[in-house]
Amino acid sequence: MKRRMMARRVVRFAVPGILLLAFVASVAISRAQTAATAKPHAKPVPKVTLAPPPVVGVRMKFQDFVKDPKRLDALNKAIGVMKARSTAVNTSADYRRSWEYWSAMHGFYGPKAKAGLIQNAINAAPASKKQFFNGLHDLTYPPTPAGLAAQVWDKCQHGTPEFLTWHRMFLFYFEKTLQEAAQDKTLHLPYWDYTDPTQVQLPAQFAQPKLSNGTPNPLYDIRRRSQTVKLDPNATNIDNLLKKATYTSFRPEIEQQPHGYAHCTVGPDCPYPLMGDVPVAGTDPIFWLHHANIDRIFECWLKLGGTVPDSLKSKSYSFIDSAGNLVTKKYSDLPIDYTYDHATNCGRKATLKFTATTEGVETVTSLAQLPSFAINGVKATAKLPKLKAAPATTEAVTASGTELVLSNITVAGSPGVLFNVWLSTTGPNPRRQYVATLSFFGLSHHKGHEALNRNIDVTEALNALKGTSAQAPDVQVEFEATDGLEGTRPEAVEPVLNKKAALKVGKIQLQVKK
Amino acid sequence: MFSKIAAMSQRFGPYVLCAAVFLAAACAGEATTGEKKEMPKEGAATTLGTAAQIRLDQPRLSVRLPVATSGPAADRLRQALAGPAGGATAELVLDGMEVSQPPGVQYNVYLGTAGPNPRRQYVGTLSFFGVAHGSGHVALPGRTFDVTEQLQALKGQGPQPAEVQVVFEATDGTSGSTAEKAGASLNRQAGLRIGAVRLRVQGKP
Repeated sequence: MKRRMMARRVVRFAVPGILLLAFVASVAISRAQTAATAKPHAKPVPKVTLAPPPVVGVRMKFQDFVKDPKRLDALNKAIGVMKARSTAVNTSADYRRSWEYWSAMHGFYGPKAKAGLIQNAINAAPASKKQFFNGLHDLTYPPTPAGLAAQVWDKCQHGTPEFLTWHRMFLFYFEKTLQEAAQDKTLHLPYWDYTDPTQVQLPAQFAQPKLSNGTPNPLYDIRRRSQTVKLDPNATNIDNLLKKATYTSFRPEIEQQPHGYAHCTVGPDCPYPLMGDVPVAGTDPIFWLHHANIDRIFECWLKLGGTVPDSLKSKSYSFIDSAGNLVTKKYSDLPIDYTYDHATNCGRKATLKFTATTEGVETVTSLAQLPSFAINGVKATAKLPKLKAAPATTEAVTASGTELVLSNITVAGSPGVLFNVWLSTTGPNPRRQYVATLSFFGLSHHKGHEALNRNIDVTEALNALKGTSAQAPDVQVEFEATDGLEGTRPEAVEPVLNKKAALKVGKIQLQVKK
Repeated sequence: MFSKIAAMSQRFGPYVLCAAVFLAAACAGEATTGEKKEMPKEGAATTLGTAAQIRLDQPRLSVRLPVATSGPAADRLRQALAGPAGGATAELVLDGMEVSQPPGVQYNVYLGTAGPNPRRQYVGTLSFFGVAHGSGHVALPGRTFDVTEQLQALKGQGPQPAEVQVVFEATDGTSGSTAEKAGASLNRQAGLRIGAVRLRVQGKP
């Protein structure tokens, strides 16, 4: 026993002493070397004060995070404090650092919200899902600071290239607010690593209504599919996702799966609160651990050689800082001060690094375009101008993103039919390829419905039409009315075509995306 | 006489189509099957098989994809299935997806063998986060799945499968979900469609 105590003392005092001696000695040697190599009459070098390196914290797997109860206590404290601030005066800095405010930055229900009023969502929900709206309500912008909420609320990016970059910044500033609420700068968001087949169940710490001391558990919320919801390990396998070599292929896939998948499964389903419903998803504490995992997978992909397009790096977004004030920052200027404990070897199998690609979000070369084309009968052919010369026509059949874009499709009434779209060669003996069908559900001139746009991948259709040529041929776009059934001739549906539908395509463009 | 035949074919076309693209319930008599049809078979260089106009309004739907067994695309498929050294990958592409209301479920996508004793492999899950009741008509992003390993598992001893089926099954997302159970939450009026399902090979010719 005494020996062990002695040994501990030696470690406690002798080791730092040795380290200190080593440091002093190294400084002395370094100075001596500098003096020896300095020119005799050189001017003294001005002192440069280097900024201390940013403290790098670690975002950990939740199952490792909870191994130290102090970390879990800090997270509970932070979320508890933020939830308590939701009832603060809505013009206060505290409200801007509240749970409700941060959820509203992702999305909200209310008169000014993209999602509209919550009652409309409740009315549209099936009976079995209405209970999940309990406790939720419409929000209105705080009157002061004027315009601030409009700048930062309802800004989540989904279905856009900014999905990953916006959410990374959102989490960064959320983490700062957590740290402030916990009064603990070492607190970093943990992540729910459901890519690990042993971790697909909602972590138990989120499933208990009360903490061991009998107080409400800040991580708990009743509005989930169940408190033991278990994701499907097949659906959380990211091995193939990590092989996507370009941002334009990686971003949509991660957004759908596992991101959208996990939202809808914790759900209780889409689009129902909390996790399944964009306007209130941020209200569930598991949202933040889910998104931390998405951000980690993004980091894994970057480490494999993935790159963010420059056009996204230079975008600025506004959030709230830990003092409750507006902060606006470019993505490229985000002072990231954390790492992930596992950002390499993230798949279940080893993934090879891919060559970094410098990629724009959309570098589009137009091959041909036609403005404003009206479809009045059961058949209509839009003759495109001659295609742009090579190399664009060669790229059109070798690239993987050649598209026929039908923009701003509008109707004045329901057309009563669908329209098959074909790409066909011009000149004698035309050949054609089916590329899409236009349907018009929900599309009308009524307020609230947007014009329809279709981006149709026609790479393979053009490949089929080019024959043995190395280049895409001149083509035209044929529209033929159909009832959607196999073999229906356009003439057969003429009686049901609404000739007053005024179906119009605002622009037809054949383009190559790189 | 000919007009009668034309009318008959018009009327019964959907049922004939069940031979190629079938939906269990629809093949029992629902006209909805007619929404799905085979694409013209003018072979693009990398395409192995295509089906178009898939309407997902049932808990379970199987779409048969005949797979090219000769020609450049088939050569490249065999190259992909021979192993990673081939440098080619097989992909299942879902294009032109659209929806008008929340479907209420997700869909698991499987690639399976056709014929008796079918075997299948999980490919991915279609989810609809962000589609709200007020969204109106929404064009969804396409999905591209690397299915090289699934096809390798399905081909057995042969060089390649001659036909595969793409199976869509409603799910609540959990591992214990079944199409029948999840089907109770399915919104059949969601207008969920897939413009085209294609099996293709990517990589060096």
